[in-house]
Amino acid sequence: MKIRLNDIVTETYSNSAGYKLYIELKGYVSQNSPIELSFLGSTPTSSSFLNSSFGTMIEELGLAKFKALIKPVDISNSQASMLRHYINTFNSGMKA
Amino acid sequence: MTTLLIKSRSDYSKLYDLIRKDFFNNEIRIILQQKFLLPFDILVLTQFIIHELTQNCDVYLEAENDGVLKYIQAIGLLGFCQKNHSESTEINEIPSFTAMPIKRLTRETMDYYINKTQIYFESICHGKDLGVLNIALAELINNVHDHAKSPIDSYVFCQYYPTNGEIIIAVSDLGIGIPYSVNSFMKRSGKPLLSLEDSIKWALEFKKTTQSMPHNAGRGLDTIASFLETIQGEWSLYSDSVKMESSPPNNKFLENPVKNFKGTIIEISIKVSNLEEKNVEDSFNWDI
Repeated sequence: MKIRLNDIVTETYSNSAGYKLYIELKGYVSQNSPIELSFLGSTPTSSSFLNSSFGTMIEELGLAKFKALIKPVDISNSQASMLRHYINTFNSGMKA
Repeated sequence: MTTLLIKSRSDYSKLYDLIRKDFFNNEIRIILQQKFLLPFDILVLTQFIIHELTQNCDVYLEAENDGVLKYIQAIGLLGFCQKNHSESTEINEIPSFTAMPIKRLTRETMDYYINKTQIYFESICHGKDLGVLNIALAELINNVHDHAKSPIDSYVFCQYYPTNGEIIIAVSDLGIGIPYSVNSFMKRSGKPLLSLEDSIKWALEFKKTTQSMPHNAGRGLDTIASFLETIQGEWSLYSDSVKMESSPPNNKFLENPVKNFKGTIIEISIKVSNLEEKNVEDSFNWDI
């Protein structure tokens, strides 16, 4: 299944928008099927946004399961760098 | 009327001295004697004017240099001194100086400003991925609202300098400052207090936050430093009596040339030629 970030949130900088994405993703991952999350046309995400979305999901699912279920697509270079930076630093502070 | 001569950055001490003393003035005249102003200077002056206006003081801003006078007129700084001045909700770029307007931002209004800034600078820096600009602005504004307790929210000013091919952005507040925020947290946690310099270093470390917020907060300054390292950007941080000059990963700590400084100002410089070309990848691998 493919969902578009822009269809879920109107901005990608705040904790509250990140939490909205988390709620949306939670509904999908409960079925254990991988999701393609399209970043097409969306702005880069802040760490606050990621903390409240991906960070919360990782705490619930664990990093390995999160990576297996959430597949970012249609993503700009800077957005990709932000996600990698986020996951790498998250990884360094968490149990695998 | 109190007259303040501003020849260099160290003279901003006079402005912060008045802010800290909360001394009532009817009228203040500021005479700028510099030949060039950067976003840092613009925000120091803006914050001072806003602070004094809230104390019902009239502020008159003058510049001895014609170029500086035209500049502060064009970017709207003089407008802040006018009685009954209210900031427009519309955000329109200033083409004559390839700048975005000075703006007071909250969490609710920041996305509009950041997106407009991206669109405008993309129209100048053709084909470049300006995502780092969005990320830096969002992190800095979120930091002010998470930690600074600023009575005037955050102020932002951004400009592109075609001669150097450089974008400079600055975000400021008149809040409690990083050292005070960090040491209040240390006190609450029963940990030893840190020197001013060490408190800034502590705040720069990944996952260090003074707030008990969930989800691994404390990434903002670390994220900025990491992105700037990738694109060989530079930043300066002013808070309390500390100034940090950074070409990540190298940080140099100096005495803040502005005495009596209040709050925090961060100024970031990005060379456009160091930015990647805009490109969208179809797929993404978490592990590469």
